[in-house]
Amino acid sequence: MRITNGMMSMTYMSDLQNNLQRLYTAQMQQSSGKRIQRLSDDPVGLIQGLNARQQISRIEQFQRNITDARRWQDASENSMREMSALIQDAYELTVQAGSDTVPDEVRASSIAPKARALLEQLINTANATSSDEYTFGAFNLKNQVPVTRATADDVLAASNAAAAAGFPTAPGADPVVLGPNGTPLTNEDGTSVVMKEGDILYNGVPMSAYYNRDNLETLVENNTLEFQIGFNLPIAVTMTAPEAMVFSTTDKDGELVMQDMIKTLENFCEALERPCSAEEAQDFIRQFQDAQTHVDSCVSEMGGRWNRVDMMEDRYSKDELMYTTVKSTLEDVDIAEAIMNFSMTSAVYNASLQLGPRVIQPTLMDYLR
Amino acid sequence: MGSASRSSFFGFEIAKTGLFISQHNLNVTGHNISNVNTPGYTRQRLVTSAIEPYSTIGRLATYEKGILGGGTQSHVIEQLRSDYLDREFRLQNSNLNTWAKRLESFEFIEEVFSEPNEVGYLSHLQDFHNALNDLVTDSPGKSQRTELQSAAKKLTATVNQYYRQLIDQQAGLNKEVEAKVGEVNRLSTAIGDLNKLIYNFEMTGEHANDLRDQRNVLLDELSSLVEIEVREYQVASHEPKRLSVTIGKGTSRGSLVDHTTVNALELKEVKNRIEYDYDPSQPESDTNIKNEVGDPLDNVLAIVWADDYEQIVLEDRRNNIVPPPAGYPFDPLYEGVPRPEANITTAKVLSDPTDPTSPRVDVAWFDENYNGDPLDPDDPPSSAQMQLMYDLLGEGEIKGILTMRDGDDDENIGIPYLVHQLDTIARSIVKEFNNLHNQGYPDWRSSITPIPVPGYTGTEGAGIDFFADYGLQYADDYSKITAGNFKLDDNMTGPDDVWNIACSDVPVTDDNQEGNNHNTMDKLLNLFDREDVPVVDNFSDYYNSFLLTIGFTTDYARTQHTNKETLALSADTQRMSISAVSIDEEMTNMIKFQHAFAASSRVITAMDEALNTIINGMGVVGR
Repeated sequence: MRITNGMMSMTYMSDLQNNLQRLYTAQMQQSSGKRIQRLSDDPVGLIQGLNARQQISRIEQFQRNITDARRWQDASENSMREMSALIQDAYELTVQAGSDTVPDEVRASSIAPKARALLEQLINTANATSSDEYTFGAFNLKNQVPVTRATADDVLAASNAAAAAGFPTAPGADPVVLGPNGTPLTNEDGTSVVMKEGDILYNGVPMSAYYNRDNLETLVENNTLEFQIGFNLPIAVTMTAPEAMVFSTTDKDGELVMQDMIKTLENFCEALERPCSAEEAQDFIRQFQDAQTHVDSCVSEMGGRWNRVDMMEDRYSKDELMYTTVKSTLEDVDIAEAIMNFSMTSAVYNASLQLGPRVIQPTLMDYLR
Repeated sequence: MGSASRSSFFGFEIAKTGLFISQHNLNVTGHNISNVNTPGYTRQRLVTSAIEPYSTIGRLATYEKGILGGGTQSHVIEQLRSDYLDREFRLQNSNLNTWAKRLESFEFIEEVFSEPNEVGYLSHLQDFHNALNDLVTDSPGKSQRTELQSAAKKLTATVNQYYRQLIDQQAGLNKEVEAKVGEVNRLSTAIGDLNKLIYNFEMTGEHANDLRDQRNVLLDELSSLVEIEVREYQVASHEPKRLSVTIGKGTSRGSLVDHTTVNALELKEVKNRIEYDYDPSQPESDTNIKNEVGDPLDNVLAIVWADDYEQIVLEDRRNNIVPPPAGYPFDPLYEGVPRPEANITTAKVLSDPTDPTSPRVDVAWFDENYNGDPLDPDDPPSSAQMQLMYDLLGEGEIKGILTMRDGDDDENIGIPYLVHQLDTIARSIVKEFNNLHNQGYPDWRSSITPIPVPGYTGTEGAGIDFFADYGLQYADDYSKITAGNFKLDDNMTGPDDVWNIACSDVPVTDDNQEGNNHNTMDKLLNLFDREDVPVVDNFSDYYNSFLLTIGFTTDYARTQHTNKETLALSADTQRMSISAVSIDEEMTNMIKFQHAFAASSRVITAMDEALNTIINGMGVVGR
């Protein structure tokens, strides 16, 4: 083949350009530390890397959710234990009051104030807060104190609301209380729940409404705060006050009845202040035992949730490590290899630069006199 | 005994031709060396031969035996060039430029969707998902709601931005079509003009070498734009050659330049394949939606032959190809290819219609015929019509531009294809997310009374839209939602509108404390993990395969480009091997001619001395 000067410089230029291109890639890989610079470098590897990134981001989000869940659960569990201790104290008072050796006046003058104090403490515990949120407040939209005593205003408001919904209150009667679907809440026996001044309210609804299992279930279903701590893995992080406080016990006739702890404690206080007999006080011993059992079972339920959260947290830290390794394998460059590549391409580039002048420069002209 | 005397000065004449030819050769060498770097220059060589003896055989009875010629003579200055390699180079050059354009375009697109990075669709989608998670942990919190709102704004803005960059590029490509077609027309006119000059010049019998070089440069340039076929033909043996250039592929090939006849390409507006029918003169409504980020072009330019296209048809009445009649140029166009009747819109019969064997010589005027499938300005060109348009031009830069501008299927992936996939993503997010959001209820601080959306017939939920669906949602027609008008609903944009986010699956009213985070958690949050979302299956996976398409197509374009570049370079190298000037060679020639020149001068000196002997030295014996 006849070789001309133009061919040599053209070929030289194109080879030089190729070498420079390789040098550029090697340099980019080395300086950025990334194996993939562009989509087209390795489309499949890139997508796998993106998937790994997405997994990492999700795991981080779940870990954040778990941290939040722990905060809620910590608060719930602490309050629950406090509640358990209060019930224990109340139980001791009933034992004391149930003793025949204690005169009735002493029950009224010495034990009753202690019971009153416990009652106030119990209400406070039900309204416990953790970072501005009510632990047992459920999905407390307006962040209002959840457990209150009905005032005359509350009764009036309930009466107005019931009237507006088409359930006017008869003179002298107590107003009915509306449920979430706008109809009056009912008791287990089918009668309407009514609100009286001084009733214990939970988020504006008398606590006694939740003696009816159906009402309690609706409340739990609609108002429990749940977090996602995994793919489609919801976990309830709060407990509503009625869930923690409504328990079943037997009355003095041996009938199974629903009660809430505040009401029980209040009944106890009233009995002592009347004052009551030792026999009457002994009735409460059984009730507080049942309350104690209920609170303790709630605490262990919380513990069960804890275990799940712990397990997930453990798994996430392992998964995170795995996905980070995957991502790094796919996206990051092996530095030793990159440096070697760079040195090699730069050596080739230098060699071709040195070769250039020798190839292009001399012509016959250089040797003619 | 006769002795034909020999002219005393004949030797001078012989030597003189040697001197002149050597000088002429030196000039040609000089011309070559001067043009060593001129683009398209073909090295030239003086064709010489010895001058034959003047005397006839009969008159050669001399006492000297042997017949002597009269020195040397030149005939022509010829070019060393191979038509085959020109053809090869131009073919590869057309291919190369198709892929060069596609690669250039895809490299830009690759930059637009530059992954992996922290500000792309995927990371914004993930942020949006994370914001939903945070909202679950504190639904009544304003900051969590605002976080979701701003994550959604970033997501929509990113998709809008992608859309904007794609349609801007499409508009740029459309401008390029106009420029490049203008370039073809300019080149074909210049080639037609050069054809005339060369023809006239070569009437003298000389070769118009330097004009031919100029023409070859123009032809090379033309081959980067469209696929050309160049032929030289002679109508009559005494005439110089004429040149014809046809463009295109197969039956769509057409004559661009035939000697001095130049046919122009013309542009015609047709509907853009990214259809968008916003009318700025009308108020915005459900059916007249303005894009947030600018609208795509309404019309793009299609390429057709100009109305006065002229083509000689060479068929007899039985549709056989016939040799060209005297006076008509040979037409390579229909050599062996029957002419599709549908292409002729007007024809004039010039020969005898009664004789079936007489050549039917027609002059036809083409217009936007597309094989009997005329372009409709109100419809985007069909795939078949686009294929015809590609065939009309063949490979080359213009085809690269057209496939990028109009490519809408797996075969020709272009901007409309990518835009339509982005539209699908935006449409699905709007449809699926809104559908679930409609089923929830806003916070009690929301200013919206339940069921504000006209036409909402769902039994559950407040029916509030999160993303703007322009009132199309219940009409089952989301086709007007594009990646360009993907945005938050008007009820969601303001700082206090965050209360409208429907987190709860039970109604939330001012006078009770009901409400929860179940709509966010059980429905909205799971949407992004679901693998069975209608149309897209999964929002991340769909986008991933979209990215894969871009990655693979860019990679393919790069491979093709490298291959074609190698082929074109190799053809060009071979061509240069034959045609380019080698300085070493010219230097050697120069020395050769210089020596020849010197030697010829020596001959003259020798002659001079011989004559000197005769004139001044003879007849003085004994003086």
